[in-house]
Amino acid sequence: MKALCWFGKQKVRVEDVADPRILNPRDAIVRVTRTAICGSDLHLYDGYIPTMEAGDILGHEFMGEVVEVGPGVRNLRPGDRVVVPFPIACGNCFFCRRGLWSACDNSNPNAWITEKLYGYPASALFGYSHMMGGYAGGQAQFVRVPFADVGPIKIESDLSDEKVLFLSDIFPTGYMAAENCEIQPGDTVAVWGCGPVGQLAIMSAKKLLGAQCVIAIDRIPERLRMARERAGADMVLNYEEEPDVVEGLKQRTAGLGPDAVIDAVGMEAHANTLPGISDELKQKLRLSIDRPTVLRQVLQACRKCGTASIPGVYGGFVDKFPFGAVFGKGLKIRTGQTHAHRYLRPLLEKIERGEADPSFVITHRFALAEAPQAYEMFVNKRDECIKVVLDPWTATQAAA
Amino acid sequence: MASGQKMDDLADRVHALVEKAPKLISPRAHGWLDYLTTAGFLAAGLALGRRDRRALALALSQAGFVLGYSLFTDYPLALRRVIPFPVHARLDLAQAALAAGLPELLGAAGGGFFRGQAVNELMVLLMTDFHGQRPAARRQLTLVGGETSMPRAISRLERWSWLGAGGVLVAAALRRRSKASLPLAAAGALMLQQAARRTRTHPARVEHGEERVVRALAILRSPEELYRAWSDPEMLARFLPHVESVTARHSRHLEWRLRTSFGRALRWETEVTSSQPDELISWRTVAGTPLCDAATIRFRRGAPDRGTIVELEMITANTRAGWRATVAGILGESPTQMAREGLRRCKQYMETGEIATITGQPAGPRTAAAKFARRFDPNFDLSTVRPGAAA
Repeated sequence: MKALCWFGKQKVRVEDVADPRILNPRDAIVRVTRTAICGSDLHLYDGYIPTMEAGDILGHEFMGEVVEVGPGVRNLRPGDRVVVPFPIACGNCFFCRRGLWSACDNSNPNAWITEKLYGYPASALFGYSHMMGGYAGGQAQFVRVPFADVGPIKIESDLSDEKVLFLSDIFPTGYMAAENCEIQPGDTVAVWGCGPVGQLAIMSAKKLLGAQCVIAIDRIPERLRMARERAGADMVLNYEEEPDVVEGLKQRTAGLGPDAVIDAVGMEAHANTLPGISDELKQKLRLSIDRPTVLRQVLQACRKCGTASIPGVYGGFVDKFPFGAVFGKGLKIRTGQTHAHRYLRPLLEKIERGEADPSFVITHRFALAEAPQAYEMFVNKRDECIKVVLDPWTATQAAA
Repeated sequence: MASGQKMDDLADRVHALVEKAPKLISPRAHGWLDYLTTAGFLAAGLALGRRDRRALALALSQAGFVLGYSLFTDYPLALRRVIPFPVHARLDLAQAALAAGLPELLGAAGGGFFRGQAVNELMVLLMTDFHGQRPAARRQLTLVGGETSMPRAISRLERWSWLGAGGVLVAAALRRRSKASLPLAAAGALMLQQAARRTRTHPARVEHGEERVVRALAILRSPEELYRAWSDPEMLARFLPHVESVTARHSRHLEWRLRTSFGRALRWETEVTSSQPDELISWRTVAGTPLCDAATIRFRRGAPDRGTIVELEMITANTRAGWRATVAGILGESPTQMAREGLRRCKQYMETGEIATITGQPAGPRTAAAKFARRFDPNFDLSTVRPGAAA
């Protein structure tokens, strides 16, 4: 089959590889009909996530048709149309039983790495480095899905692939980010980063969870436009025009500050300020894994006793973390890998009822064969690229 | 192991010769010389850097290395006195080896300077008085080995320094292929031998010359089910990493076969010394080459809804630790890993009915090094690289 493989920093290629096969009783093989490139794939692309190996197949946002199931999978049959959530969870352990799916104890064959790094082992993810399990990802024609009796959700309506594909990651991730804000009537939520997760966090906060006001922060005009026109942001703030973001938010909230803040940027933040430049330099020199520029800003900008929700990905140690601000203002911090399984059913129902349509973030469609160009375009935000969807089965597809 | 003993003797003889050299340099003077060396490398970096980036990188990393361990050495000029002075001596030696071998390997300019610097450091080493000031330091070094008759144990820092230095010397010798190759390779081999010494064990874990590893994990199954699983030889082979088979010989006797990441086969026989239904099972090795000499698994009911606390204890007689065991230990094949991964795999199997794996999944072309490295993954199925190995 054809699959997108990682070979090093900004080096990805489509290769002919063996078809996946059932390795464990609860596995299924899915023929991928649509897959997407996630913003977090760019951290792999840029070489910032350790334990990647040349030849690894990328991709954790995908859906398709079940073609084979192991003897332990009773709820799926060949022919079923499914969306697969990006964390791999067993459904049986202490954490899965409590609905904390992305903390699963049993899915990661390389658990010892994150156990050393974080104290306790992390669950596995599709196509996201060997410390996260080393499972082959879904930017491929076929994919092996472990614990297929627990993860995949069947799509029984005739909704198009593009409408439901993002249940795999960015819709639950954006939604959980907004849910973590515990939005009360009258609340203002500020969202840093208007990439796909930021857009869906804005949409969830405004349209699904009833925020009074959502403020979107970015520097790319088309992303701010999408936030206002499609996601439902009430106000936007371009930090290149208004570098003092904290002051800008203070003005927009009459001195109170946002009740909740969302960092939908993560480890590769940009800022044309001294700390921003120093963070970039440190990351380039490998003195630091993360660039916590936005993280600091978010904590600084949040109102007293407010909530900071952090769906953005961080990998290691963060320099000059303003814990004084967290303590001094009594902030709540909510973060972590999305418990995607928890949101599949309720969010699918919202899509089916027409209350939400996350597909508005798509700006480009490519064939899998064109994925290397798509990565290059996405990472450089060329051609107003916000979200790329790949079709593994066509030869070429003009960008739409 | 016999060859290992000879190498140790050789190392001791070299050491005795070194002891005879005149000791003219005090620890304080040695400290000044270390900082001078750092400055020398920095200056060399400045001088060579314009011509050759590799020489620059080399000089800077050497400067950083010397400065790094000097700042933390137990002598008068340090920032924090953490590293015993005699260990500092070994680091100096490793560093000299790196300085001598690396320019050749990297094809960097200024090889003459680096080699000269290496010789200079050897002379300083010979003439430094490492024991005069603090006689206690020497005893401290043999921390664990002191009272029992075990070979000297080393810290991780020392191990990695020896590994790096020895590796560089051997590689340089192989690349060079001149008259100097043989002594260079011999020195490198001696250093690698030093790297293979036992890692220093925390004194709390050593009792009567035995090393204990204890690890516990809560598993959401009843003590009855877990006891039954650990009584089943087939399950033991499934749970414990790299164990190829466990066969019941006769009542209470089991035969274990394990293949290490290097492909070496181990075989040993155990007898069950104690078995209390739903509570514990103990084994003792009676013959063969084992990974550990005795083990006990205990089951204790946890808090409501928290399953059973499963505790695995492995005991190894310290005298057994030869260099092979140590090399295996560096790469993870040790009682510690066995206990950790064995319990983890048991939990996966008992809770989900399967053991998480990626062995056999597709991937793009892998490098040979990556393929080899995969073998050291505790959960890698070694039989896939050696067909028929399980027989």
